Amino acid sequence: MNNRRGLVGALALGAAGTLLLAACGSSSSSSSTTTPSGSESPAASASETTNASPSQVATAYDAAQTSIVNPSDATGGTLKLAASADCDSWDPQRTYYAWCWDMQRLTTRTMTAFKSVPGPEGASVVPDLAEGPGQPNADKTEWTYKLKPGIKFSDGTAVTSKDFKYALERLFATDVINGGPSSYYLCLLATCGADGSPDYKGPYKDPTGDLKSVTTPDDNTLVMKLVKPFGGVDFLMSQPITTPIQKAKDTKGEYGKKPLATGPFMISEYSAGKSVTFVRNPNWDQATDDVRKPKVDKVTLAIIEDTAVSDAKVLSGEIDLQADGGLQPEAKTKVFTDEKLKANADNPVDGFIRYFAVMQTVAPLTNKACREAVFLALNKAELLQIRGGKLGGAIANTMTPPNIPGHDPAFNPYPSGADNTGDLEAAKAKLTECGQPNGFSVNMTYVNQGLGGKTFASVQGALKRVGITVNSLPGDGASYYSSWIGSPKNIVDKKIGIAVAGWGADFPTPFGFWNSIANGKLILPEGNSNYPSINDPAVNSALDAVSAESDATKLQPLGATLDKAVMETATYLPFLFGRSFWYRQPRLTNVYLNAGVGNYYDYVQIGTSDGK
Amino acid sequence: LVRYVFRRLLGAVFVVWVISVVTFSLFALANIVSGSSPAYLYVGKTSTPAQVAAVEESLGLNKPYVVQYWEYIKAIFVGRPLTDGVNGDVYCNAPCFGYSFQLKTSVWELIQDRFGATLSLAVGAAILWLIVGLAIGIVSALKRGSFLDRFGMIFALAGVSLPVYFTGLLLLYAFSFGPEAIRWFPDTTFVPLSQGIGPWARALTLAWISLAFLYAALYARFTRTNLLETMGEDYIRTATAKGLPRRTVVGKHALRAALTPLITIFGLDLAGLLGGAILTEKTFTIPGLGALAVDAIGKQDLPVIMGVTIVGAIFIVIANVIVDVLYAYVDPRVAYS
Repeated sequence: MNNRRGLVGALALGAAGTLLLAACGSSSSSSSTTTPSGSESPAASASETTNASPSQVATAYDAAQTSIVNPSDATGGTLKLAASADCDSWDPQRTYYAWCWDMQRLTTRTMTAFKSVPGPEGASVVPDLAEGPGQPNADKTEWTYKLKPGIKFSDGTAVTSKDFKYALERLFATDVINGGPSSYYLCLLATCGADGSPDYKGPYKDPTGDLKSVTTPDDNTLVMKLVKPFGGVDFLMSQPITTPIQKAKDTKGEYGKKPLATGPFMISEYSAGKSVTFVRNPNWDQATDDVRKPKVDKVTLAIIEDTAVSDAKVLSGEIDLQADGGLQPEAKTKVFTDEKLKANADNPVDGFIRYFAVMQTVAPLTNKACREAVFLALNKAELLQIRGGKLGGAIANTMTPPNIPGHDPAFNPYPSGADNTGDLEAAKAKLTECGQPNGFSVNMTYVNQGLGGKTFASVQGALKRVGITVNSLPGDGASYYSSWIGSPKNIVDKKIGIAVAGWGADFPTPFGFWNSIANGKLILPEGNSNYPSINDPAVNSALDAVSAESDATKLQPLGATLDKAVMETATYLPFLFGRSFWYRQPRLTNVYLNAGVGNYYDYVQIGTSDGK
Repeated sequence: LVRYVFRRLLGAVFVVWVISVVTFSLFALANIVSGSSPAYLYVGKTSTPAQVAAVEESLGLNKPYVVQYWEYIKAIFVGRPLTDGVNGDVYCNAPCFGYSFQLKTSVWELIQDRFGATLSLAVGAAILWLIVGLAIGIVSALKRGSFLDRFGMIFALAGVSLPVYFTGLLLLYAFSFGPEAIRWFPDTTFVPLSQGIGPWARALTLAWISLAFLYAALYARFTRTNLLETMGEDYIRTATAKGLPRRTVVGKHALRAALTPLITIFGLDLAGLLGGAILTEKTFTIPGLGALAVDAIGKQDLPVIMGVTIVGAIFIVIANVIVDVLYAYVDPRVAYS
C-alpha cells in the first residue's frame, strides 16, 4: 500500500500493495496488536459496540489518536484539503494510495467498512452496505453477503447485488482496470495459470462470459465461491475496489473522471493533477449509513506539489489539512516547539516499516551468516536520528508492525547492541562463520532523493566498522520499486546486495501485511515486491495458515510464527516503525485519526466550527 | 510577403517535426536503457507479466518504435482509439498526444486544462514587466548617471541575480503566510479568470511580480543600452538640432529604433513562458504546463513529457515566425527575402 511522502516520496510511487493501517497510537503499545484482525470476530464484536461513545476532547497534542477532537453536531461549510500529488486514480477500483482509500470513504460505500472511531478499534471492520458481516461456510470457501435495502447510486439508480458482481468481474479486465489491489481477488475468484493469469478475462474482452464464482440469487444477495479457503474476506470487502459499479454507467478507463457515488459525497469537478471538488450526494441516505456522519457541504482538494508551500498554507489557515501526509521537518519543528500550535498536532505511528532487503541472490550474501553480519553491524540509533528522531519513528527489531497481529515487541533476533549502534563483536563472529573474516564488498541501492543518501552513508559507515565495504548504487524514484529492485534479474545483474525499502499492510492482518513481500509464489519478473526473492517452505506454510484463518485469537500466534519464519531467513532487516506528524486546523470539528484508514484523519466525519 | 510567410511556416513545420523525432527517440531510449516496459508505469507494480502484456497491446507499446512513432504522429491529426483498444469505444480525438500513464487522462485534455493557468501567468507578468522594464530603462537612459539611473540599474542587477524561486518564496512568506498586518494575499490558490477578475488577479499578483521582476530587470537593461546607443546617432542629433521638442525626438525617433529589437525578444520570451514557467508555477503552485511537465518528469510519465515538449516547441516556433514577419514590417530595412 502506498502512502505519500513518508517513504522519501518515491515509495508513494512504487510501493504498491500498501494501504497503511497502523492501528496503534504507539509502537510500544502491545495491546493494540490484539484488536484488528480476522473478519468474523471483529465485525461481530464491532457491531455490538457501534454505539459506544469514544472519548471526546477539546484539543491537545496527540489527542486525535485516541479521542474525537472538538466534537460537534454543527453542519455546513467546506473542508479544504491539499495533497502533494493527485490520487493514482479516482476510479475506486484503480487506486492504491493509502490516503486515496481514505478519500474514497467520501464517495464510495462497500459491503463492510472500517469502523469510524479513534484508536486501535478503528482497524476493525463493521457492516456498511451489508446487513451484517459476511457469512462463511465451514471451510471459508464460500461467503454470503446480504445487501441493505434502499441503497442508491448518485444517479438515483438502486444498488443491487448484480452491481457488486459486475464490479468484481470488472477487476479481471486488467488491461484497462489496473493499478488497484486486484491481485488479492483474481486468483481467489478464478482459476489462475502458472503465469498468474486468471481464466476469466473480464467483461470487456469477454462480454458474454460470466464470473461463475460470484452469484446473485436475488437483488440483495451476493455469494462468492473462492478457489481456496480465505478468512479475511470481510477485510477484502471493505476495500474501495469492491464498491458496486453500475454496468450501464461503466465508462471503462474514463470512469475515474466522474465515478458514480454511493457515499455521502460525489465528485462535482475534477481536473487531473490539479483539484477535485466533492459536493453532497442527494441520493445518499444517512438512515442506511452507520459508518459515516458527514458534516460539511463540500470538500475541496487542491494539489500543491511543493510541500514547503503546503506546510505554510496549512499553518496560515489557508487549507485545513494535508490529506496525503504530515508536515515536513522544518514545519514540524516549528509546531512542536510552539505550545499553542502543538496542541493542534498529532504524531501517530504510520504503520509503515522501513527496512533493508538483504539479497540472498547476490554473493557473498548467499551465505546466511554473511547476511547476519550485516544485520548485527547496523547502527539503528543513527538511522532513527536521520528519520527525525522520536518524532520520526521508533527502532524496529522485527518486521511485523505493532498494528498487525503477530507483532511481538520483545522479539529481537538480531540485536544491535544495548544502545542500538550495532553489535560489532557478534557481526565479526558471523563474518568469520561465513568465510569472510576481513569483510567483503557489497552494492547498496536507495532512491536518489530525500533521505536516501543519508541512509546510505549511515549503512556504509556502520558496516565499515567490521570491514564490509558498501558501494553506492542509487536508483531513480520513478522506477525504483517497479523495475529497479522490483526486478530480480536486475538485482542479480547489478549485484545489488542491500536495498532500502518500506512497506505497510493492505489490511491489518498478517496475510495483508506479508503476502506481497514474502510469498514465494509471487516472485514476479518485474514489479516484484518480494525483493530478496524468498521462497521458503516454512514461510509459505505459515502464510497459508494465516490466509485461511479469521479467528482473531488464533491470528496472533500464527502471525508471530510467520514473523519468526521470515526473520529466520535473514533477508528482511527492519530498522524503523515510522511516525507522521500532522497539523489540524483549530476550526475543524470531529477530528480523529482512524487506524482503519491508515491512521489518516477520517475526512468524511470532519466538520467546521464556523460553518465556512 | 505571402511567399516569405509560407517559407517560414514550412521551416517551422520542419523544426517541430525534428523536435518530435528527438522527443520520441528519448521516449524509446528511456525504455531501452531501463530495460523495462513503460506499461509498468501505467499498470501498477502488482501486475503479472500477462497483465502487462495486455496493456502493451492495448496501448500499442508492443509495436516497433517506428510504427509507434507513426501512430503517434498520425493520432495528432486524426485521433486514435485510447485506453481500451479492445472495444475501441474510448476514442482520443485529434489532436491526440497520447495518454498519461499517471493521471490516466488524454495528454491533450491535460494540456488544455493547464494552458489557462500558464496563459494567465505569462500574459499578466508580461504586461507588468513591459511597463516596469521599459519605464526604468527609458528613465535610466534619459537621466544617465543620476540617482534614478543608479537605482534603476541596481534594480536590474537584483532582478537578474535573484532567482524566481527566491523572490517568489520571499513574497509568499511575507505577504501570504507572513504577519497578519501584511498578509495581503492570504490565498494564492489559482482560480481561473472565469471566476471573476478580482479573485483571479489576487491569486496571481505575487506570481506576476516575482516573474516580472526577472524579466523587467532584463528589459530595463536592454532598453537603457539600446536607447543610449540610439540617442548617440546622427539623425537624433539632427532632429534635436532642427529644434524638435525632446518628447518628439525621444518618443518618435529614438524609441522606435531602440525598441524594435525588443519585439524579437518579447515574442520569444512570451512564447517560452507559454510552454510553461516552470519555477514560478512550482513556487506558487500554479497548475500550468510547466508544473505538469516537471511532475511528469518526476514520475516518468513519458506521454505527458512528449506532449508538453511538442506543444511548447510549437509555441516558440510560431512565435518565431510571427516575430520575423512583424519585425520585417516594423523595420523596413529588413526585407522579406
